[in-house]
Amino acid sequence: MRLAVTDMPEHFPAQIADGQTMSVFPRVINLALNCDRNRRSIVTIDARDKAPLAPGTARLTAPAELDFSHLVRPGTDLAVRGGILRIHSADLAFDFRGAAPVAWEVRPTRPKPNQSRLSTGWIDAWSLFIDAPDPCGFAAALFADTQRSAFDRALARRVRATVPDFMRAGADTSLPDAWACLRRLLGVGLGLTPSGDDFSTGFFLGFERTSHEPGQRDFLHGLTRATLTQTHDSTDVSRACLTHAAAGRFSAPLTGLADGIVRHADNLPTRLANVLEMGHSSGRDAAFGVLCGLAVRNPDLRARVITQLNNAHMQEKSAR
Amino acid sequence: MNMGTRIIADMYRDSVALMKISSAITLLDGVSQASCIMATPANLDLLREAGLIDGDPGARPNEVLIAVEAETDTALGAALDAAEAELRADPVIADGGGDVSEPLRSIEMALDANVDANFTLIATPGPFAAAEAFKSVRLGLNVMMFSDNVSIEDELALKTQADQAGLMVMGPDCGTAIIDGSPLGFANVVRRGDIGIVAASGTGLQQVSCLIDAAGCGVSQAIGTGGRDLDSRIGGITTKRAITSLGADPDTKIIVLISKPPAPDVAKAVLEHAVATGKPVVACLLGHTPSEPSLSGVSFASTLEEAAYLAIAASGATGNKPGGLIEAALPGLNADRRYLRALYSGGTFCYEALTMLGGTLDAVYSNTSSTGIQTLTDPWTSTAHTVLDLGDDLFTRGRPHPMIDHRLRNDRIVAEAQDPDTAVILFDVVLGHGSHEDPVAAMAPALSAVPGQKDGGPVLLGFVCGTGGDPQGLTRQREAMADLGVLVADNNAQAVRTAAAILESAQ
Repeated sequence: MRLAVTDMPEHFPAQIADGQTMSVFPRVINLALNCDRNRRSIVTIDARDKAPLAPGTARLTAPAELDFSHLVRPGTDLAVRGGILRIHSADLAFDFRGAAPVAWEVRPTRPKPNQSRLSTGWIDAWSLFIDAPDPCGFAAALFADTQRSAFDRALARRVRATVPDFMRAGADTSLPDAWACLRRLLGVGLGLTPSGDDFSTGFFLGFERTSHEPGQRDFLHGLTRATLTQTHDSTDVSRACLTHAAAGRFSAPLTGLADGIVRHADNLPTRLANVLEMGHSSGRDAAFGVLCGLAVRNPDLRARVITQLNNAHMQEKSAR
Repeated sequence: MNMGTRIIADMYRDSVALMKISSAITLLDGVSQASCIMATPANLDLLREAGLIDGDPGARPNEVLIAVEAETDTALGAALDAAEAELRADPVIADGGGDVSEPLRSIEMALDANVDANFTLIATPGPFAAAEAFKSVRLGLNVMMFSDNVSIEDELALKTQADQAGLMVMGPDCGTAIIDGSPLGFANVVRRGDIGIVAASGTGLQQVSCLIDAAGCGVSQAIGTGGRDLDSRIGGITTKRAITSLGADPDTKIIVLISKPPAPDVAKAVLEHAVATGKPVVACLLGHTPSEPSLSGVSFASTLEEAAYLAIAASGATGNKPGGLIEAALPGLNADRRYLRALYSGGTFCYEALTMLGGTLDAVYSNTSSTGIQTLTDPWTSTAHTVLDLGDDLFTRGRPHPMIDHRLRNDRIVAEAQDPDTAVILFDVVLGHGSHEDPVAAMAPALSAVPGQKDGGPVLLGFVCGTGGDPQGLTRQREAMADLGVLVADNNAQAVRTAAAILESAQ
């Protein structure tokens, strides 16, 4: 079966590349392509009828009944030749020849946000976020739960101890303090893109949307540069996402949420829902990051996050 | 309590899958805690905090780590096994339904069956070759065109299109290459090493690579370009791309360029391109007088033998110094026998001989044009000193190449021996993939029919272009030639010098 890709990452190696499938889901495949001796590129093939999960996504229209996980195993060799990506011993190929290359947004200049509108938008989004069912990843730390596994308990402790300090350091644009916190969050969490990495991606976006002073820009630049030095400690897929985030490229649902909060858009519930459905915990972690990033320099908003984390900790402690 | 871990390498699972497995394992009898995580340093840190691991388990970020705390060793082992089995469980893969035995009738079908392929070898009759080559380039494949009879307009369009796509078209009429150690077309079994060759000449490439092998050195890549690549109309497109590839190849330390006479402006551009790689360059552009003989970084060679010698020296080894004659005593000539008759199967050998003999012997005739050489009006009949390329279209029309089918040359050897003017019959024997499986045996009837010198016959002089690894056996072929009364040289240049010396000594 050959499926036509409709749009593809701007620098997709359309002529010759070899690689492997990394992870396979019913409608999504993550691929690692060896473009040349020194460059490895992560590409996501996305057949969902929704906004792309991350920069570097190639999208296509596929039959509704198609389930990639029934056709391809993770770790299968693949090759790109002349715009067609073929997967070894699978009856599946992707035709990139008619695909439109998509350039991802890189930090456009934006007007300074109206603080009042930002605050009301943020409070609405925060309420929606807190009320969303089944909190997981970093967001689980916002709620008391005495039944967690040992790993999840340690993760919640880490989030509650680190995120408040991270936000304060961001407010002060203190790069050493912020980096000391962030490095304790990067790579933390289950799955292909650890929660800490998704949270950081969201935080970079949220912070960027409210940064207009040179000092704030320098702080963000320093933080993303420092992050890139530590991406080798994360998974390949996550490293690719963080690299995009550091360069100012974010997925459409995430920028939609951030911009919706800044403008206090009417459709915030939809915008948040679009983010929450990304992956299992990825969307929730990224949304949490966006909210934290937007709240950093507003003491009232920042306090809401910190208070929620502290309350959850106290409730859990007293329940024990 | 017993704690244990297991690492599953190159395993990617999303958080839902890992959480499900962690939960399932925790519910097993005797298990108190369990966790499956992607083993990032940060996650390992958390597991240490949670008391599930102690120290460094040695796992990397793209690996899954299973950590279990259990009441007994048995429960621990069972839990780790169960988690691993769950992680490794194959998804249900649908049968593609394709018939793998279906014959491949197109390049696309071949690609579907061999997804990693990045190279097409085209050996169709000439009129169809260009179409297949264009198709290959559109499919993102590099091309080697063994076929000839492709128009120069098609060659230019093809090479331009390929170059723009970052691909290489070797040929048309590219008979020899060694890519990543695989001999393609007519090529010898040459050991791998640090010398990269770019050649617009098949037998030139074979000769140099065989001499490199004989000196204990080796070849990283040997890229054929097709004989017209250095024509001014093509402009060396493939040669430059091949040089760029070798320049970027960490396994290539020295670059050797081989060709028949190139267009001067193209030669200059190609040499500058080679110098720009920063690697030592040996250039054997037969019949070409460099406009800048002292071009920095380039060592010019006038023969294939010298090119091999310079490359071997640059590689840090010692080869046979060029310029010598065969070690055996030179035979005298009988009666009025005074002319050389060189009968080559390799076109570049013919051309090399002409460049060497042009200023040495008077009245040299050939079916190949070269400075100071006269053109044979009838290539089927020799005149004075005659040097023939029997691989020329004139001789191969409707019959296999003389490296495969020796009948034409055998007939010519017998005919030349019967000519009372023939003093020396010089010939090449080319071994390797694609060539005759036992060439000297195939030539034996003709060579045996030549009267020995004691009986007033001409001198038989030959050389074998091959390596010890070739399927025909270099030593066996050389010994068989010697047994048939042939003086055996090490290479073409030595054979030509020896022939000239024999003729000169008789004067």
